[in-house]
Amino acid sequence: EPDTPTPLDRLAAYFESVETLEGEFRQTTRDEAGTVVEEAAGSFVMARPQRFIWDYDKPWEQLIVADGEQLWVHDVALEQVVVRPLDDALGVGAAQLLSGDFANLKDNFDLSVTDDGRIRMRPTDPAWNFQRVHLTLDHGVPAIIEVQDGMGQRVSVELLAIERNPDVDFERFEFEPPEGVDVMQGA
Amino acid sequence: CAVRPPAPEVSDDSVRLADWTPPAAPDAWQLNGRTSLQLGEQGATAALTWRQDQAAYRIDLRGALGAGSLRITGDADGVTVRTADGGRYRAESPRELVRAVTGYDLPVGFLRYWVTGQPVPWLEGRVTLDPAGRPGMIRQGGWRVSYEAFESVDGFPLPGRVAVTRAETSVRMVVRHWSPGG
Repeated sequence: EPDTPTPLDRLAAYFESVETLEGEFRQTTRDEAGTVVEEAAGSFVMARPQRFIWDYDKPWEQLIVADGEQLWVHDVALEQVVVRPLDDALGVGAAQLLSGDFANLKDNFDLSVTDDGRIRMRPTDPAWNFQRVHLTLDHGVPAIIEVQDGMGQRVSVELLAIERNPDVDFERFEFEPPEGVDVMQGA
Repeated sequence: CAVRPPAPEVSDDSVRLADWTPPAAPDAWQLNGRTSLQLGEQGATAALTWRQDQAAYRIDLRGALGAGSLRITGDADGVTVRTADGGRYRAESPRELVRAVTGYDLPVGFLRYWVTGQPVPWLEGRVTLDPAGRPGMIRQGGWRVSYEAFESVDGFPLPGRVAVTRAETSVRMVVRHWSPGG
């Protein structure tokens, strides 16, 4: 009887078969006591390699764009943009995981499977290995990505209304800081 | 609207702080908002939760997508900073510790007053008042603190936007929610 694919097989299949992904997200942040400290929501689009848009409209307007080389974070209320090289923004959790490739993922994370079938991802880079990442796949695409840091804070991102492999114009990922906004280098 | 760096005043219509009685401020409060820290060309933005009760405070900062969180808790005796990697650092002076951990020289002890539109009680300085008698800008200790979007919360006038600058360092805050009484 054919062996059923393991979660890691399905994750590998996701990286092979899904080039672009679009949908909405809900992001819940809890402190170490489990108290919800922020609920955010918005829409996202992702395209390999290394391109994604993470567009928050609640509770704050904030636009995060990975253009393949740099990561732009535009904080609309503060009228400021922070830009940094994409590869030193690995800790940017959920979004970064979606748009890389499987080999790169396996370099950056030790992968294992929990008893309840979630994928446990431990960053190999000592600078990030305080993070615990859990990934739940559904219908072959990431559905829940949970990142816990060394203070016990947990950010859980749920992906919704997902469209697999939509046509995505790469120009969408070109970010131009709007007029009058301060651009800062990410420290 | 942007908090533009203050235009050089042609006529300095500021008054000495000693000659101004600031409006009442809550001695316990909590604010939720966004903040950015800028040092020259470098900077960071974060979600901000700040609880203050007399001299005791807890400031939580969360970076984009929850990365790079920081928690500063303190009281009259000292301050502790906890970082996302689980690090914990203790010191007497919040300013020294925040500089050591983050590289930013932030007048943490002063911000507590400025963020509610109050001057730092033990520092001289000047204040420029808006027509409603609320501070447009406070200048103390070499810092400029400019205010926008005051709103009345439980009878206390509290600012919606605060920008604190000195030379290359600037802290900007946008407050989404004030709750006096903490």
